[in-house]
Amino acid sequence: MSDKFFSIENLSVEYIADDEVVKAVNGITLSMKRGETLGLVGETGAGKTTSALAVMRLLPPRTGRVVSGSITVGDIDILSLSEPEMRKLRGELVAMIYQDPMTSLNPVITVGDQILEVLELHKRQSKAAMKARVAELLELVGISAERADEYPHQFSGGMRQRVVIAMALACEPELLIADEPTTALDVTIQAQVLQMIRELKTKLNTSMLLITHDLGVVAHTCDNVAIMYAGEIVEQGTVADIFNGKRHHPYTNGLFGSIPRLNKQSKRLNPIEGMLPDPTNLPEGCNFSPRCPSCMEICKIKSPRFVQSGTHRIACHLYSSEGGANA
Amino acid sequence: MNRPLIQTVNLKKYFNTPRGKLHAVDNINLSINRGQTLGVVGESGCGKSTLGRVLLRLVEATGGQVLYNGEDILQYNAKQVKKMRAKMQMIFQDPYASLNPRMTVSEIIAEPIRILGTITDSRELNRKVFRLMSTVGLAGRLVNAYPHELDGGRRQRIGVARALAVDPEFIVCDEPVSALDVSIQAQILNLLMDLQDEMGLTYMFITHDLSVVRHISNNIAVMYLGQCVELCSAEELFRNPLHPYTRALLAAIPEPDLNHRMGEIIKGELTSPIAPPAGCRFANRCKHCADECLRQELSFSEVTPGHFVMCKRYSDDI
Amino acid sequence: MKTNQVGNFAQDLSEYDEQLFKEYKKVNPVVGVWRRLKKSKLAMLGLFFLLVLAFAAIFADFICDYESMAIELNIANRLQGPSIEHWFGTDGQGRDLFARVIHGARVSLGLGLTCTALSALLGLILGSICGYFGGVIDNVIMRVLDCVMCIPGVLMALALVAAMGQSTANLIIALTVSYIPSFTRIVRASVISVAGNEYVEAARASGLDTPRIISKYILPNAAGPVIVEITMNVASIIKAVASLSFIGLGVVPPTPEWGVMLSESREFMRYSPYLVIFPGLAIIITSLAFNLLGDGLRDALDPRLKD
Repeated sequence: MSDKFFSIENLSVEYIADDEVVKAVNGITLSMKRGETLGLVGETGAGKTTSALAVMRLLPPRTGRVVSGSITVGDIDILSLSEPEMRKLRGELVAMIYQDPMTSLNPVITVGDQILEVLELHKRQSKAAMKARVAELLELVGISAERADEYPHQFSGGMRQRVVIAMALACEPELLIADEPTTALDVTIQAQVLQMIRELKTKLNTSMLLITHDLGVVAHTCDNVAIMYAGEIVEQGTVADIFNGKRHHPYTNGLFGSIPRLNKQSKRLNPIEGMLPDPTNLPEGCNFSPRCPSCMEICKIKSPRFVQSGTHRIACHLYSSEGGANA
Repeated sequence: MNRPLIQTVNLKKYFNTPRGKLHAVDNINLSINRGQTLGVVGESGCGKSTLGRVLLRLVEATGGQVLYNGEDILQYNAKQVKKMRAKMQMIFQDPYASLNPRMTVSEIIAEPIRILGTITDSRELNRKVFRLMSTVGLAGRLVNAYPHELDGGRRQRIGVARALAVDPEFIVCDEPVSALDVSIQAQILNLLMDLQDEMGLTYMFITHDLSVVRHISNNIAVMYLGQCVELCSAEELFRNPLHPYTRALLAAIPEPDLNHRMGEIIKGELTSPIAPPAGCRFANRCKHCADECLRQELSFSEVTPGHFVMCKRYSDDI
Repeated sequence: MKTNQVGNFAQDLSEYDEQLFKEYKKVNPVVGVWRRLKKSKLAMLGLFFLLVLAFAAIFADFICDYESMAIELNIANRLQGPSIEHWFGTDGQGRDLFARVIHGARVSLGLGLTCTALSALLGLILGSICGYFGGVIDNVIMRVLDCVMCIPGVLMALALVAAMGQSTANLIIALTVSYIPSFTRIVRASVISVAGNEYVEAARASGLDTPRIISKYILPNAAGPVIVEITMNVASIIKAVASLSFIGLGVVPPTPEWGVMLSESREFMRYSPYLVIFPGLAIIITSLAFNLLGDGLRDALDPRLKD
């Protein structure tokens, strides 16, 4: 078994809207080992969901396209597969959990049948065996198997998200992509679902790419973290690197400064001024430079390369030999 | 001590549904002092938004009183309500849905002033709009922009400017930052706090996010299924939460800190607020639930000065 | 107590904004709508057809004389095919078909627009009331309209005309009444969906009264489907007038109306198909033009779509 189980190399994705080109993802590189959870953190428009859709090969067909890069899961090169081959792998190799449990289930089919459908698509088994598997899956996510004959509207939001997770797990995928799986849920329910995800991960040894904007969720579920800004990864490392490390990308500092904390009362938050850059017209040099409190001359000209120390990588001139050493 | 600017007395709002009476707001008693912020926290369906709307008479109450400077505004006639609107305003949750897509930024901000008729000279009105825009940090060149051309943070600033337009004393903020990205969220929170310092505004801040509410509030009310289950100062609530639901809420927050461990997670979900049974509404999720919790009506009692809780067993060692 | 003036906080307008303030003037919304409408080729095509038709209708008398060419019988000239002298040929009574189609535009467009305007206005009022207030009023109005709707439009018009006598006024009343329910329904549905938006609540929180909330916040945002319905109904009413005239209950011959003309030409259809083709084409083009323009207008009226 190779060390890297899942990797994205230099992936760039564009959307073509009217006559503009939106550069949604600009050359990101990621990798993770089997059984790990990688948190992909960023704000709206950072390119998190686009990256996930690229992995699933579910970019909108007419407007979205992968410009360059490669994606490998296990030893399969995802981007070189034909559509029918990919269709077979969706669910079996990679599965996705969507954000909104209210809209990601079909309201006119019972939850049991929806899970059954996923099984039918992928596995040739007897009807009875599949029925048994549905019951098993429901129990796995903490829903009593008797509720298989109920319709989605009879479930609460948290329960529906559990059903969605059961569907994603139906064919025992090796990689699970969870796109903001708890954002639409209340805190107490979010805590329940997060706990369940953690337990399932240890039980099934599934690798997971967790997309979220919530650093709290990351701290409680992930092994590694990548922080995205305007289509690029600006900082990457283990959770310890990100949460306890001394050096950070200014954007990461900005994110942490923006969150009101429970355990200490601060009078003012330290938000990042300004907004995300227009993805059709990205700035010269570092994408974060217009909002960066420690922006230097070089940042406006040259985009920074990663500076590595151990497992921790930061793309910022502050720490590079060209910029930071003397700044 | 400060006299309360806003006070509710046994405030009730029931909605009739085909399945029975929905108790959205059930006997709420709270007060907000001038220049202070009351945070109202709870999960979806607990009635916190309805409470804010009842205070502003956007939804008519079923019973009880809302005292504003000692006067019951629920008894106001249409003319008095219109006058009251100049003193009590609202900031809405969704900056995408709360602005009329067919009006420009300046029209939206000027609208409350135009309705109230305080400034009739159009030049003066424009000047006021510009001043409001710079107050909330909107560039003047956006006067003629339509909301759909702006991002969420700027739109929410329009919402804030609109609420400030008539120089109100009291503003209900209904989840004003929950639709925004974290970095933008912090900008808006800072803006709201600066405005409060500058103008002595009084806020009711409705949210589901305990960390936000702790940051901005003087006092916090925790709501569960239409009832206020705990009310005290922000500091006290985090230091000494008494109601089991408050504790569960606090335990459920994932802090962005590796040393932080989440507390014990409560089981179950919110039950229906339609025709709730007698006794404690949290009973079915509460591990301390005893027979007495199910039988008797609970009272909202002051257990230490300024700390109210609606629980029979808070004092038992739980 | 602190003063409650925003001005303290903002001090004064910055120089930049002062400059801007001087240049500040309101954009005329009509200009924007026209600019967006121009972008749609189909809408412009529709508009072009309508302008031609309107021109024909207004200046019909200057183009060809009503009495001598469109009304007077001239049996000697009957059933001539299209020629330089008679562009569209002549009908069974020897009248110039081109003159009749042109004068018919006046009758058909006039009736179509009048009935649509009346039923749209009533539908807007009823639909807004039903959608905004809901409850008992909504129920009563909608059930009455349901009863009206049960009767097919043309049949209803037929019954009314038969009961009240054949006259243009009665025809207008009959058609208006039968088109009110569909307008009311569509207005009601869009009002309900728009009224749920937070900005409507925000308007109420600012103290706006109900009529102005409906006219300024709800109707403009609910206008899209209503405009499409209006243009479709113009087309449909023109066809209804034609159908009623065809069976002899609408416009009375010899008044040149497209439906009447179709009806009169039935017996000659096999040998002189142009008699059916030209009035038929007039009806089709008018309907099409209204539909095209309606689609374009719906998009142009929405500022959310790009300039």
